[in-house]
Amino acid sequence: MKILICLLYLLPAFAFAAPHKGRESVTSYSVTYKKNTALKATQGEAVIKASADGSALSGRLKYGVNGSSKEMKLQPGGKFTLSLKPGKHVFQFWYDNNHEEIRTDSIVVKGGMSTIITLDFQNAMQEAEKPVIYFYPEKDLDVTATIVPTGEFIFTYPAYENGWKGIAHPDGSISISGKTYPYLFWEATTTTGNPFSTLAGFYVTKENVTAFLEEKLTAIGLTAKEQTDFITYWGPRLASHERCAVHFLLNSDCTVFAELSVAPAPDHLNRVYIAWIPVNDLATPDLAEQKLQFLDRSGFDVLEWGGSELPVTNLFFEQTSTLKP
Amino acid sequence: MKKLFLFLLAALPVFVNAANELPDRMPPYVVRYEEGSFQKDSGMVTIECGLFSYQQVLQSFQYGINGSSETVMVGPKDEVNLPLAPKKYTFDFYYNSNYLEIFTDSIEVKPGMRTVISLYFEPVDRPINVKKPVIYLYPETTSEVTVSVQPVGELTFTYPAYNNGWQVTAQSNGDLSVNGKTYPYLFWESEQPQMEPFRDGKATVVSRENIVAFLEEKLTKLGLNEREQTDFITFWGPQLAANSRSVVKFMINEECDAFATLNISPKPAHVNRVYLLWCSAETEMSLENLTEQVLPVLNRDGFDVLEWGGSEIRFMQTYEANTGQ
Repeated sequence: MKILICLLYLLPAFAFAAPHKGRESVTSYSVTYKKNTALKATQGEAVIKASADGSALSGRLKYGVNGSSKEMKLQPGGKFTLSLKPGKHVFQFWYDNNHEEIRTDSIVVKGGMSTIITLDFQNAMQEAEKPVIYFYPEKDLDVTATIVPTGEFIFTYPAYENGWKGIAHPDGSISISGKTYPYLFWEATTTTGNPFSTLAGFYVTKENVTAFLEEKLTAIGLTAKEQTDFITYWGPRLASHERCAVHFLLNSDCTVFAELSVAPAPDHLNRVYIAWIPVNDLATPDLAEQKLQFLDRSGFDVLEWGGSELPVTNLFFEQTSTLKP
Repeated sequence: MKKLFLFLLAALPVFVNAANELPDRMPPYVVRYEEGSFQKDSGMVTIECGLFSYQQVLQSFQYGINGSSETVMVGPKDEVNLPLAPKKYTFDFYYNSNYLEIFTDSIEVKPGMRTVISLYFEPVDRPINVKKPVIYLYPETTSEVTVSVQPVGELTFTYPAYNNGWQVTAQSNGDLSVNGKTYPYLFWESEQPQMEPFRDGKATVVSRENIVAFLEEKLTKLGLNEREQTDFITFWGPQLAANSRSVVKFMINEECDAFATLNISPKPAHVNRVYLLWCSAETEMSLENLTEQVLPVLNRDGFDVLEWGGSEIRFMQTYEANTGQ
């Protein structure tokens, strides 16, 4: 039953982190108890068993108990044991950037028993969503665009076959195999690390989403059409939460999502990604206002925008601990 | 156990605020494994169940394993134990017509372990989101146009801002300007009560691989231009492609009054509306009695308005019941 408790308590965390496209969510930890005659009634212990993808982890695991910040070398089987007083404790665990942090709700450590906390670290794969690419050659131009995502393609339009090859028009559209598209579209899984590690960005409340995006996208230099496409995609997503943390990635920052190359080389290859975390009423660290660059859009210019919703955990582990290797 | 369970239900609102503000994507089931003292060659499946409404505890529910059909009484522990030989199974669970049926992917029953499946039956009357209706206006000459939307539900997002209507300067190429800013289209979203568009059995099952080709074919037949098709396909395509199969149907023109009515002055020669209604259809569902929809060719002569949108419907039972399955 304790396990069910943990599970239900965990649900909101899933719900916020859960991607919108129906990928499956699974529990990331469970708790069981075992009598331990080596312990007195006033002594308790937590036995941590850490695994990912069904295999025990090795190496070092960062953890916190009730807000503390420590690191432990894992024993064979991904185990380590902590002596703890009986009572309620809150744990957090972090293995590496490729796995999502695990934060537990209050777990009861019982006297005279081993409290076994089994961790199942989930891959921290996110999706690079809706990247769209507009081409603005000065006159009609044969172009080839190649994307190398850090993960795997999920969807492209039109079909991506080792690249897109077509005739780009000055209005931003591109003709491929006789059809004209207003932009090229791709989506892929990605590993983003933590774009908030520098603690630069913005908090945006529900009411201000549109005004905020208009202001920032204008400051970055997106056209009215690009802004509309961006805002009608991300606006409703952000506005479905009371408060979000937002960080923009520009140009070379965006290679964490994918490499984009265009031939012939444009004068300016401009990329704008939004990384955001729904934080709602959670305690959050202060973010310094992110300085945004005004993109140079002169000459033959290519503009790509996209983004990724990140799980709430990315921000918090960094904030609640200063655990750096 | 039961006491604890009730306690849990009472505790949930702390996280979700109110029953009608459930997070967007609560996973319908989660699976975890516990160590158990079972024989190495046997497995045990424990099914825990809950409802997302208060003070209701299941008395019994129906389940199927690899397509079988059984009814099981829920014991006093709010759980059901099924001994199953270790291998992979797919399950489905059904409580009553007020809750969505749950279909699982293949779940591995591991030898010597307890496989715990936690179920969360979701009410069917949750509102649906009417997504991304975008409106393009194509007057014959540059015109001042007023567009108003009366949604059946409540508007949740509009762009640009909607103040009892949009006052638009529309050009023949489709460019719109509102208060001096240019927009490619008008955008709104709403939330409204659940509906049952598949009741007449007129719909198509589309597999992931065929989604793009299917949408291109149907939208071309309806008469959407290349830009409209790209906007439509890059919005709905990835959402449909997240499912191995989807059931889809179109609602056309006045049928779309089920979502909103549009009032446009001066009156266009043609107001064309195309909505896509779709539902994820796991491969276990039998859907052979669907009949193909006959789609009209939209008349796009003269001052023409084109709106497209749609909604994910998460409820197929009505159709299943009608066909005696």
